[in-house]
Amino acid sequence: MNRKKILCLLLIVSLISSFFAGCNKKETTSSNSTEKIKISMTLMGGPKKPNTWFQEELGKRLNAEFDFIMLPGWEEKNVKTNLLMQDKDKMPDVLWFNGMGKEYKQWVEAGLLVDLIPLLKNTKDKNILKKLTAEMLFPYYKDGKLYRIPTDIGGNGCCMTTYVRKDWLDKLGLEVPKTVDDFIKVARAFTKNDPDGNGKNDTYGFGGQNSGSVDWRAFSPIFYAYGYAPDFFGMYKDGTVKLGATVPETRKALIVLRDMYKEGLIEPTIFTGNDIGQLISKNKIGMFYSWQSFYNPEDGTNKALKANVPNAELLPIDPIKGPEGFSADYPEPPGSWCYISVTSHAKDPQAVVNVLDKMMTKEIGLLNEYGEEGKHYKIENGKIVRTISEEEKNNLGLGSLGWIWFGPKFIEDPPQIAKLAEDRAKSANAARDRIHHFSLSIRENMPTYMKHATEIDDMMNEIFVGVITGQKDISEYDKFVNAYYNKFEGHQIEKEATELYNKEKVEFEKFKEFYDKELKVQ
Amino acid sequence: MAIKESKGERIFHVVNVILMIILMILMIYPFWYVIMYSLSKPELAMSGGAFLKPKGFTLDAYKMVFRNRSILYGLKTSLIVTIGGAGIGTLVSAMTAYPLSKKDMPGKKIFTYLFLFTMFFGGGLVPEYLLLKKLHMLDTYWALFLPGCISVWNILVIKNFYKGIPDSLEESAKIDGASDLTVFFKIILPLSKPILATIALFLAVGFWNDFFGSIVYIFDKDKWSLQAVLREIITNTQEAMTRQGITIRNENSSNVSQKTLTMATIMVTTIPILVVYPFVQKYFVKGTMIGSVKG
Repeated sequence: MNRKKILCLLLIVSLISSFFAGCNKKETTSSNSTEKIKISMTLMGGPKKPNTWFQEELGKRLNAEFDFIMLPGWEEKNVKTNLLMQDKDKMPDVLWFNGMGKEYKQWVEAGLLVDLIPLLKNTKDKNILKKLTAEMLFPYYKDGKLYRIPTDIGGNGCCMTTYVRKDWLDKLGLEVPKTVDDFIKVARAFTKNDPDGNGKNDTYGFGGQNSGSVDWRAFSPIFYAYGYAPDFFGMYKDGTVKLGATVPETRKALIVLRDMYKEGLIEPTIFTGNDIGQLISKNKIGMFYSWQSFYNPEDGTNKALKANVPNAELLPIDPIKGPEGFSADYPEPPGSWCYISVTSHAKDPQAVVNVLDKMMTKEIGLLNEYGEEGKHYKIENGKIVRTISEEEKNNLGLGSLGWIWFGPKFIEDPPQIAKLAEDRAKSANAARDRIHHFSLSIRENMPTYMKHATEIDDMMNEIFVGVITGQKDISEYDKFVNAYYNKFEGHQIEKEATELYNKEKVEFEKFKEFYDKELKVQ
Repeated sequence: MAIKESKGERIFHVVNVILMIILMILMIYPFWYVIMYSLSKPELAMSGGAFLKPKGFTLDAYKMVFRNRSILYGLKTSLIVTIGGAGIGTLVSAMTAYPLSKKDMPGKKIFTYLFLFTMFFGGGLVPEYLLLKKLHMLDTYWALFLPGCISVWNILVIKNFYKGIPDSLEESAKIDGASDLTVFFKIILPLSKPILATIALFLAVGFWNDFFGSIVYIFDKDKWSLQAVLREIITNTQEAMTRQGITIRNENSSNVSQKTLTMATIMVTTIPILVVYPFVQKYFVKGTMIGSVKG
C-alpha cells in the first residue's frame, strides 16, 4: 500500500515539474523574441570558442542574440551539418557550408532554405548587395531564386603565382626566367650548380605541392605556358570547348616536363605527397607555383625559410611564356568555395537577413578582426596595431566571423603585395576562356562528362604521372586521347561543354540584365 | 650449467634482438617525434627532418595548450565520460552476461540472438541521433557514454569467463541462504576481477578515444571531449581542406606554431590514457587468456 502511494506521489510530482519546466522554457523564448532576435549560426572559421566577448559584443551592436554552433574539423563538418539540417529544432537560422552539392539540392527541394532575393532587396543599407557582383552571384542563381550567397569573396581572381629564389639567381648570376627555355635553364642551374653552396647535390630546380594527390596546378609554369590546364575545360582555338588534357599543346608540355624530370630537375615528392611549406623552408627547391601569401614577410613559411637561410628571398615572377608567347596564372572560380544560407528555421527570415546585412560593415569587420579600439588595438600613422597577443585574441573570440564576414576593406595590403595581387589577377583573367570554370552546374548540363568523369580523371592522372616520370612512353598519352574520344564519348563531351559554355554566356547576359535592374545598388 | 647454444641458435638470437630493436624503434619513434616536435621552436621545427632532440627547446606550446579553455573543458568531459562509461559499462555488461551464461535461463537463445543482431546491424547515424534527441540526451554527457556502454562483444567475453566458474560455487552459496543478487555481487563479481578489469580498460580506452559522439551529439563546444577538440585542431590544416576540395589558403592557420601546438595537444590527450595501461596490464594479460581458454 505504502509503496504504491509513494510511487503515485512521485509520478505526480515529476509530471507537474516537467509541465512547469516546459512552461518556463516557452516563456523565456517568447519574451526574448520581442526584444532581440535570436539567430543561431554555424561557424567554421576563427578560434571557435563559445560564449566569448566577441559573441556578446556582436549581439549588442546588431541588437540580436547570437547562438554560435561550432562545426567540427574539416573531416567531420559535413556530417554535423547534415544532422543539423535533418533536425527541425536544431537547424541553424544561418547555415555556413561548403561543397555539399547534393545535400544543397535536397535542402532546396525540401524547402529548407529561403530565397534570398526579395529579402536582400528589402534590407536598409544593402551592404551585401553592394559587395556581390553579377559574376559572383551568377553561379548560385537558378530559376529566379537565390538560396545561398558566396562568402569569403575577398579574392581578386587569382591567389597563386610562380616563385623563384632570388638569392639563388644572384648567386649563380642568372636572370629572372621569362620563357620555357629560360625556365629549364634556371632549373638546371639550380639543380646542378649547388645554389645553396653546401657542396652537396641536394637541391632541385622545380618543385610543388601535393597534399595527398597530384595537384596539376603545381605544374602551371609549364602547362599554362602551352595554353591549357590539363584538369580544366577551356575554349580551344577551333571554337570548341575541350578538356585541357586532350589538346596537342598539352602533349608538348608533357614532353617538356618529362625531359625535365629525366634530367632530375623536378623534386619527386610532387608526385607522392609533401608539405610545400616544409619543402620551401628546407631550402630544397628553387622554383615553384604556389600561394601569393608566401610573399608576405610575416607569412609562416617565409619566416621559416629566413630562419633557415637568412639571406633567402622569395621572388614572385610573371607567368612563364610559352612558344606562342602565351602565359597565364591560375584563375580562381568566379564565385566562392563557401556560402551562407538562411534556413526555414528562422521565424522571421527578413529580420535575420537584416542583421546579416548590418553585419557586413567596416565597423563589424574591424570588431571581428581586431576588437575594440583603445582596448584591443590602436591606430598608429593610419596603420592598425594590435595591442593584445594572439592568444588573447582567440580567447576574446576575434575572428569568429571568418569566412562569413565580407565587406569594405579596412586595411590596405603592403604595396608590393597589393601590386602582386593586381598583376596576377590580370594574367589570370587573360586566361579565363582557356582555363574555364563553369558557372552553371556541370552535373546537370554535361551528363556525358559526369558519366565518365572519374574514369577520365583516373586515367589522366595515371598516364600523365607515368609519362612525366618516364615509366610510360609518350605513346600512352596518345592512347589516352584515343580512349577519351572513343571509349569516353569525347566528342559528345565537347559538344555538351561547348553548348554549356554558350548557354552560360546567354544566361549570364540575362542574369546581368536582371541584376542591373533588380539587385544592383547605385 | 647453462645449455650451450649452437651457432644457429646464437645467430637466431642476434637477428631476433636486432629485429625486435628495429621494430621497437619503429613503434617508439613516431611518438618520440611528436614529443620532440612539440618541444621545438616552431620556425626551426618547420624545416623537418629527424628529431632526436628538440630543435631549440621551448615549452610555449604546452603553456598555450593548458591555457586553452577548450582543452581544460575537454579534459573534464573526457574524465566524466571515461570514468562514468567504464564504470557503468562494466557493471551493466557483467550484469547482462550473467543470466546469459546460465544454462537454465528461459528464452536464453532468443535473448542471445537479439543481442547478437545488434552486433551486425545498426540503425545508422540519423536514427541514433533522433533516438537520443527523443530521450533528451542531446547536449548532455549521457549521450557520450550511455549508448556505448553495452557492447555485445564485451558481453560475450564476460559470458565465456563466467562459464569457467563452477556451478557448484553458486549452489553451495544458495544452500547457505544467499539470494541471486548476493551470489552475483559477493561471489561471481569478485571472482571475475581479471575480466572486469580488462573490459573496463577496453571501455575506458574506447570512451577516451571517442571524438565522434561529441561532434554529433553535443552542440555546446564546452562539452566536447578532449579527443573532439584535438580532432578539430588537427584537421584544421591545409591538407585536410585540400582533401575536401578546397583550394584556398587557410590564412587563419598560417601561424607558425600551429603544428607544434597540434603536437603538444596530441601529447596532452594521449598521455593520461597511456598512464593507465601499466596499472591494468597484469589483469589485461590474465583476463584475455582466461577468457579465451575454456575448459
